[in-house]
Amino acid sequence: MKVNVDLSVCERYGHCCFEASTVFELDDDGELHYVSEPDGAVRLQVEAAARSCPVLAITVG
Amino acid sequence: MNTTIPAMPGALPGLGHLHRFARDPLGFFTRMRDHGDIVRWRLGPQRNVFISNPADIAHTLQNVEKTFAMQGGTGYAFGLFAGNGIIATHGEQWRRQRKLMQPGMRPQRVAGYSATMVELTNQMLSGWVDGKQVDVRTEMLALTQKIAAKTLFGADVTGDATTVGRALDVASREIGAEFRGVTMFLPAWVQTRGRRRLKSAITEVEAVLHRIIAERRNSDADDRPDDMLALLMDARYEDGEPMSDTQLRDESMTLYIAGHETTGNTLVWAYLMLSRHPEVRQRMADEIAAVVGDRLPTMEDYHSLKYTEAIVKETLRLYPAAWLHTVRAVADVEIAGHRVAAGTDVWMSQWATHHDSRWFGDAQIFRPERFLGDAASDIPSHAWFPFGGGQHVCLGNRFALIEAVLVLATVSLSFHLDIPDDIDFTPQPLLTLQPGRDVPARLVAASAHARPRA
Repeated sequence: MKVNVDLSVCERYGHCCFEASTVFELDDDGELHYVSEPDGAVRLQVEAAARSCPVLAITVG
Repeated sequence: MNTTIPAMPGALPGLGHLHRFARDPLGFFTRMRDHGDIVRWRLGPQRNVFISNPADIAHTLQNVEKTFAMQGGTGYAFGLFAGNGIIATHGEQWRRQRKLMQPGMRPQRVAGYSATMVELTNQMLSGWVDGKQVDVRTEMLALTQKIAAKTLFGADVTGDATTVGRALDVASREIGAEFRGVTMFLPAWVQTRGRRRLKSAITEVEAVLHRIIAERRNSDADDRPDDMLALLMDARYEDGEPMSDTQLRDESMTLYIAGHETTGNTLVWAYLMLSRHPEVRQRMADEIAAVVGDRLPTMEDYHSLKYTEAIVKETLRLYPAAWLHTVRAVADVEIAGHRVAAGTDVWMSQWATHHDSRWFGDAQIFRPERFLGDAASDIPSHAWFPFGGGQHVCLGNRFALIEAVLVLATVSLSFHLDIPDDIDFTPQPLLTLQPGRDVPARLVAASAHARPRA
């Protein structure tokens, strides 16, 4: 599974971090880090994260 | 593109559909939903459309800040409470405030708040006794109020909870009455009796906020907690200026009220549902016992309490605290294949869409399972939108879900609540959707061995 976050669109809302905490993380400085090829076992969570993004910055392939 | 939007029947000259909306807003929204995906209607002189299809709701909410603006469709009364707070603004002003407050709701921050949520719930339980009668509304609103004040403002409002609770009851009722009646079209200088009651209620809440802010200003700089109030008070805009006192009042009022009235009422509805569905309550108690055991719940537990969270989500579906969402088209836009002119207000109702059998089978039935696993992925995006959507999505949505789950979990280890089946709890669409009466419950203690050790 491939995940991409368009960081020019991302506004650091952090909703994805709650939906899929093993894939997305906002650090103390408010920077977003994410796993770009996560295990397929977390697909439902990642899809929920993509849906929850207020600015639709996440694509899942 | 078809330009004729179907009109909702029943308009009167001058009034439009005001009389129908005012009599029964929830029923009127439901009838508009059943009339079509997009329906034209009028509230006095204001041209509106009502939309109910999740695809159109998603599209509309995602275009706020582009072709739509937030609309304080609820007029004077809502403005009196929210002012120019984050909930009522858009454009540059909103962007600036949102950017400032967002860090206060980051995952690590919210995780930090969770311990306070559990601690204050446990404190409430120390006053609970097996067999005692309580009013669930009073208990839950006092609890969520203390949680909001402590986590966001580092303040203890135990002594103020009753005063603020009473003031909010008045305010909620008056705001509800205001946008259900003709007074909504009266200019601000017309002071009806309702408006005077509302003003004095808001003044009481303001007094508590002013005290909290003054205490913080007078406190030792090294002792100040790193909380939402600090974010607001320490903020410096690009020109180096701090937030004005008026803005500080508007934001703290918004956080205080939106931060507890919603979750408090959601918990009340959850306890009503749990009392009426003993099988759901048992499954919840089993999950909590298995995950938490005999200690107090933590943030880590929250991630495993999937069924308990599904109960909260299903409660928000059937009884959405925010039951109405309005935005204004700032350009000509296309919705559902129709042209909607600039200046039109676009209304959406969580109540109408959440109860639509096209998106939720047996829509009137309380069934938390629909929010678990694969079933949850089948729900169309924005068929469930208790927190709104798009860039203006509720700042505290995760705070609210975590709080509700942790309160249910902490209480469940010690008590369940039995609420009489024969009482009518018809939802009242006030500032939030709430049972229009007290909610009496009998406390039943869990078996002693299951009690957590504090």
